Amino acid sequence: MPVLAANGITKRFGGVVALNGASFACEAGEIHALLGGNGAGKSTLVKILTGVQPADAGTITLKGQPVDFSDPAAASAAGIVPVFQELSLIPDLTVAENLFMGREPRRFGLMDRRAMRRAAAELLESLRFPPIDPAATVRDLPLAERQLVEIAKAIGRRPDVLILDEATSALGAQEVERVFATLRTLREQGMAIVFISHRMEEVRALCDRATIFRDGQDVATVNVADTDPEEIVRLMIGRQLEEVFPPKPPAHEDAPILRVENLRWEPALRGISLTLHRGEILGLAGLEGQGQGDLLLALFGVYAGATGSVQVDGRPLHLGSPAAAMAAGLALVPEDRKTQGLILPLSVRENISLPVLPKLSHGGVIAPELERRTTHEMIGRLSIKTASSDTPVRFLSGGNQQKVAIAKWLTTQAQIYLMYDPTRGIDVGTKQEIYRLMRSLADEGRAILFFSTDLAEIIGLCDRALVMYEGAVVRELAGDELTKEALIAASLGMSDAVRAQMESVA
Amino acid sequence: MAVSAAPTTLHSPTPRRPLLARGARMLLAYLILLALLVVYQQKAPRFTEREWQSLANQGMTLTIASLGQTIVVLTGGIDLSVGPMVSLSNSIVATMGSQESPDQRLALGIVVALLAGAAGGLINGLIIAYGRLQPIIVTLATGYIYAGIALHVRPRPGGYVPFDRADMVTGLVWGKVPAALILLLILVALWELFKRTRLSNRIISIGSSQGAAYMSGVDVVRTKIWAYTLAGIASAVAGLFLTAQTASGDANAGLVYTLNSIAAVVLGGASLAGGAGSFIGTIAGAYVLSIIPSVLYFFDFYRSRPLSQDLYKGSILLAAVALGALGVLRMRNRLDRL
Repeated sequence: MPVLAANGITKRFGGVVALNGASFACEAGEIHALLGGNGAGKSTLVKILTGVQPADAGTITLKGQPVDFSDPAAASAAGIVPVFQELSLIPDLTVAENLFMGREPRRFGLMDRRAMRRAAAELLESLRFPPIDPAATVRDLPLAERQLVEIAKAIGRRPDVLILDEATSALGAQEVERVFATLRTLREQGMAIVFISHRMEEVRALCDRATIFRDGQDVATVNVADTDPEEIVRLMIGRQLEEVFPPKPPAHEDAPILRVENLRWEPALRGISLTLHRGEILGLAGLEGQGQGDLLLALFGVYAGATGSVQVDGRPLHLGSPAAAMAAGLALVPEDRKTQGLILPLSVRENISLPVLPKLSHGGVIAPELERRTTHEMIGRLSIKTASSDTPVRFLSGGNQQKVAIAKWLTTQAQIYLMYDPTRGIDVGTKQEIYRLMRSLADEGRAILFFSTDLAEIIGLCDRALVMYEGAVVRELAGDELTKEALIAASLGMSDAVRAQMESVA
Repeated sequence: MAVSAAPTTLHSPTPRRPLLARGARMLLAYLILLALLVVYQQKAPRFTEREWQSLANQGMTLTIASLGQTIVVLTGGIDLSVGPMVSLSNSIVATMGSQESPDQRLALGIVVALLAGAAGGLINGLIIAYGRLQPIIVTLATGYIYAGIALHVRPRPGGYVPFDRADMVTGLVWGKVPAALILLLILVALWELFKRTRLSNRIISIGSSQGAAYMSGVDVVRTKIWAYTLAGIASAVAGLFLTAQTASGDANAGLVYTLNSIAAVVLGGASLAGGAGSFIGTIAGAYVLSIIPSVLYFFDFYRSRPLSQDLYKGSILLAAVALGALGVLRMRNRLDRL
C-alpha cells in the first residue's frame, strides 16, 4: 500500500486548469520523481499535497487514511513535509531557531537556546552536511547554505513523506552529492521521498520511479532505471502543436539592432551574449527561473551591478535605469502585468499615454485631443475590447489588459520589445491576435526578444531561440532545429551525447 | 499552457540589509545619548542624584510605551493607539483615586487601567489579524475611540493621586538611586525573559517573512493578537508611570507618545518593515528624544526661540534615521530601492 496517494486531483485558477484529475502514489522507502514541462501541474500538486492550496476535487490518502489539510502546519503534523525552492526560512532568526521552529527545546517554559544549538549541531552533523554555524543568522548565509538548512529543517521533523521541490537548484555538484547520500540513507530507513528537479541527471542518479505529468494530468509512471531519457522526454511532450501562428518570413539577415556581450548579474545571469536583428523574433526558452526574466529586467536597467556590454544600433547602452533603456528604444512587457505593466485603477487612455506624456503635452499640460487620438489609434490597431477609452483597465479581461500593456509601448516608437510570457493566462483567440501583432512589429523592422513558458510559441513564432539553463545560454536553435525534442533536452541540461543520440532517433 | 502561482523572477539574491548592521545602529543611538548626557553634565550648574532622577523620569513613560511599540513593529505592524491608551490609563487611575482608603482605590484603579490596556490591545489585534486590515488604519481608528473614552472618564484634568505612592516609582531609593532606573532594569530583565519565549520568535518570524512563517507552521493570527495585546498592556503601564509623574489625570497628556514611540523604536535600530529590533535599542531612542529638550535648554539660541524645539528634535531624528537608510543604495534590484 502506498504511504501517500493522490487521486483525481483537479485545480483551477480562474479559467485556467492547472490540474485535471491527476493521480500519483508514492511507496515507503522509495524516491519518486515528478517530471513535467512548465505548467504540467507538478508544483500545483505539491502545493495541494502540503496544504498550501486546497484542491477543487480529488482525494489524498496518507497511510491509508483520507486527509484534508487546512494549512501547511496540518500537513506537517500529519507527516508530509515539503522543501520548497522559495525558502521557508526566517531570515532574521538563527539557523538553530529555524531548524527547531515550532518544536523548540524548552526549560521552565522558556526556550533553551543552548540545547537548541546543540541539537542543531547534532542534526547537521548527522546529515553529513558541510559545517554550518547553528548560531549564525540565516540572512547572513549564502544561498546554498540556506538551502541546506531548509533541507535539514524538513528532515529534522522525521516526516513519513519528504517532498523536495527544486530543493537542490542552488547547490553545487559536491553539495548535491552529500544531500543525495543523506536521502539514500533516509530511503533505507523507510522514508518516502518525492523529488522534483529540472536536472535530468539528478533524477537518473537518485530516483527509483518517476511519474510524468503533462497538461495537468499524470501520463505515465516508469521505473527510472529501465527507461531511456528520450522516452521520458517523449512522454513529457505529448500532443502536437495546436495554436495557429502567423507564417514566418524566409530566413534573412538584417542589421543587428541589439548586441549583448557577456552580461552578468550573478548568480542569476552568468555571462549572456546574444545578437538580435531588426525584423527578428528571438525566443528565450528553457524551464522557468533559469534567468530569462532576469535577462529582460537587466537589459531594461532594473538590476544594479549588472556588467557586460550592450549596444543598441551600434551605440553603447548603459544599464542605468528603465528611463535610460526607454530612451534607447527599449520596451518591456513585464512578467506581472497587474503590478509592473499596468496601473490598474487608471483608464485605458491614461495607461497608454503614460510613457509618451511629454510628447502629448504642451508646457506640462496634456493636450486632450492629441491624447485621445493616440489612444483611439491604439485601441483600433490592437482591437482592444473596452467599453470606452476611459474605462479603468482593471475592468478589462486578461488578454485585453495585456494588449494595453503592449500598446503603451507602441506609442513610444520603441524598436526593441522585451516580453515576458506575454500570452500567459490569455484565451486562445486573443493569443493569436497577440502573435499576429508581434509578427507585424517584426515585419515593420522592429525586434522582439521574448520568453515563453509555452514551447509551442517558441517553435511556432520565433525565427531563432536561445535555451537558457542556470543563468546561461546553453543552446541556440534556428529553422528546422527548432523542435520540442531539442528544446526540452536542452532545457533539462542533458549532455551532448544524449542529445546526439536523440537527434539521430528523431 | 503555463500556470504558476509564484513569480519566478525579481528574486533578490541579497536580502534587504541596512548599511549599518542593526547592532551598529543601536550603538549609534547610545552614542547620541551619551553625547547628550555629556553636554548636559557640562552645561548643568550642578549634577547630582536629583538631576539623574529627573532625567530618568523624563524618559520613562516614553520608554515603557515604546516597549509595546517595539513588539508591534517587530511583527511588521504599527500601533497608533499607544498615546490614547496612555491617556486612558492615566485618566482611569487619577479618576478612581480618592482620599478615602487611597491605597485600595489606587490598587483598583491600576487593575482597571491594566485591564483596559489589555482589552484595547486585544481589540486591535483581533481586528487586524482576523479582518486582515492595515494596522495603521485600524489603530488610528481605535486610537480615536480610546482617546474618546479617556475624555469621558476625565473631561477636565484633575483627579487624585496619593503623592507618597507616586514617589515610590518617581523618587529616589535610599535617597540615592532614581527609582525609575530600577524600574528600567526590571523592564530589561522582563525583555530578556520575553526573548526566551517561543512567542518572541514567532513575532520576529512574521515580521521577518510572513510567508515563510506561515509555511513553517506559525499561527500568524494568534501571534499578531498577542503582539497587540502586549502593546496595549505596555501602554497602560506607561500611563501608570505618567500618572505617578504628573500626579493628576489628563485625557490629552498621553497623545504625544504615539509618534514619539515610533520615533524611539526607529532610532533604536528597529526596522519598520519588521523582523529586526530590540527593546535595548529602543531605550536609547526613547531617552534621546526625551532628553533633547533638557539639553537644548542650556543653549541661548534655543532658550531665546522656544518655538524651535520641534525643529531641532526633528533634525536630530532625521539625521539618525538617514544614517540607517544608507544601505538601500546597495540594493542590486533597482525596484527594491524604491
